Amino acid sequence: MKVYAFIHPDLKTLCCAILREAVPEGVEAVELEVESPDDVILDENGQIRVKTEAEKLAEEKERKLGELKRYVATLLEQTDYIIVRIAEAEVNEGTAEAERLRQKYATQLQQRQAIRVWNEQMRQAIRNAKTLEELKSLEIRYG
Amino acid sequence: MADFRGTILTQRGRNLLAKAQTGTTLTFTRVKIGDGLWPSNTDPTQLNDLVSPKLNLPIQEIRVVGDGTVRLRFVLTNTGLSEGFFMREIGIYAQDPDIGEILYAVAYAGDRADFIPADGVTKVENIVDIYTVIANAQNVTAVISDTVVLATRQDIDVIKPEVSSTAPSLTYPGKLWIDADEFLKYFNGSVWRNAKVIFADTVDGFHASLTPAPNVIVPLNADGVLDLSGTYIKSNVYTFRRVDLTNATSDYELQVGEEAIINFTNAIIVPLRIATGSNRLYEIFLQFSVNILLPGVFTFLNPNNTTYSSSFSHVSIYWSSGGGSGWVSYTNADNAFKLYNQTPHAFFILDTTRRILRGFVSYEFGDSNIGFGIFTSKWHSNLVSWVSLGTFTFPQSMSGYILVRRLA
Repeated sequence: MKVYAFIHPDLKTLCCAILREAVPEGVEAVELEVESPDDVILDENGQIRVKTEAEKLAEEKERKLGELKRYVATLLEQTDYIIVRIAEAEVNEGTAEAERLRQKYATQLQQRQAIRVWNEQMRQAIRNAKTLEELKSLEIRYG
Repeated sequence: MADFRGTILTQRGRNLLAKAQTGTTLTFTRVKIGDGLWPSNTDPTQLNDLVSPKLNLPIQEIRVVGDGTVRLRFVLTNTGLSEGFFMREIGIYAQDPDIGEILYAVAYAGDRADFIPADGVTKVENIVDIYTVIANAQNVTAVISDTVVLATRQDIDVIKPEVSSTAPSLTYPGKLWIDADEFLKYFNGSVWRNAKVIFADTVDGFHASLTPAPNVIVPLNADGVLDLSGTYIKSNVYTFRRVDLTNATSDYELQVGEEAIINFTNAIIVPLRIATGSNRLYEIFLQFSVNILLPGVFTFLNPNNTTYSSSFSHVSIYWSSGGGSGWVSYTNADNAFKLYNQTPHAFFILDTTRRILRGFVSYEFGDSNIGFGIFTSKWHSNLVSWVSLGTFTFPQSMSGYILVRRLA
């Protein structure tokens, strides 16, 4: 899509008009071809430009890692109560009771371990991605 | 009433009557009355005018009686008469094609005359019929005047609408008939037609019409539908109308209650083309034909058709049928209003005063996993006036429609 990027005279911030007529009167705008208005930045040199592929890749990696973190947290929180019970048993009732609970919840504990392994694999895959396409192809979905 | 002893044809009248027997039209022009006293040796056939004419009277009706005579009807009135007189003589005038208007026939009452008083306290309005000879004349007419018309009881009976189950036998153009179904009909000269009454479709002066317009009552159409597609219902507080802003080229200001629809096909940008301002509340429904499939990317609404760097906050949360829940996205530094992702629709309320939108979605993820999400997004700067509701941008080319209804 085309956008018309400009520094807003009142806000002094970067803006992108989606329609040419949305550029304020008397303001000079830079016409850019982008995939999304978010691809436009005002760099440290005060220049309005489209993000480089490397910048987009780094930004997308950050976003994807955050998404992964939130997703894994939701997977783990479903069995967090087991960890709390074992920890409480360790403190209040001794090692034997804690061990009994570990045996009782062995399946869930294995699932949690598997989630953590998958999480680490996904983190590495995200960090190692060389292109946006490769990054976007990584679906954050366990199991 | 004065005692006139019949009419006498004048010589000129006889000559004209002779011409009438051979086809000349016999046209009676007027009647005169006068107070002339005829000497005893007066030969009325030799008169060319009344002895002392006082009033010219137009002919109101002519009827050929059928026995070689004609009945001329005129109205005797004293309107405008400055001086009373005795009506002793009556003259019937006709048009001779060769010599002009002639005295056709006369009648004389002599001392058996009536007094016609001057116009004043006593009003005279009488219908007078006078008969005269026309023999076998085929074409008999009269110059009929409608300046003074008095109707007889018989006249009224004739023109009174008939109430009957069968059509009246007496017909003339304009004849009225109320049939067995109590419909008013009129005879148009050849057939009976239903009479149309002007303003019959009005209530309190407002006409009914299938075409909606100001001061018009709109009925249901043939399908029983109140079809307002061409226009709208509007009150002081609410407008009931849908406008199609697909491919609009300039901003349209919705009235309170009014709804806009914007269709789009394979589009990545969809301008709403809706003018706005502060103190507005909108209900917006965005419907895609398919899910947005790209994960982690969002639909945005760009107010004023523009992005404003780091000027928007957003938070979204999901709950899934698999039991999962959590953040979808949160930030204080978006560039536009962010909606939800990977969903075929979004429904939200947009408040231009507080510059915030709040909405929800439901989604399908895989074959069985469904869920719903809520989201809110706020433009946390008010340094720029909000004049155009904005443009939607999608992360991929999409088809569907958008409904925008102004609530306040």
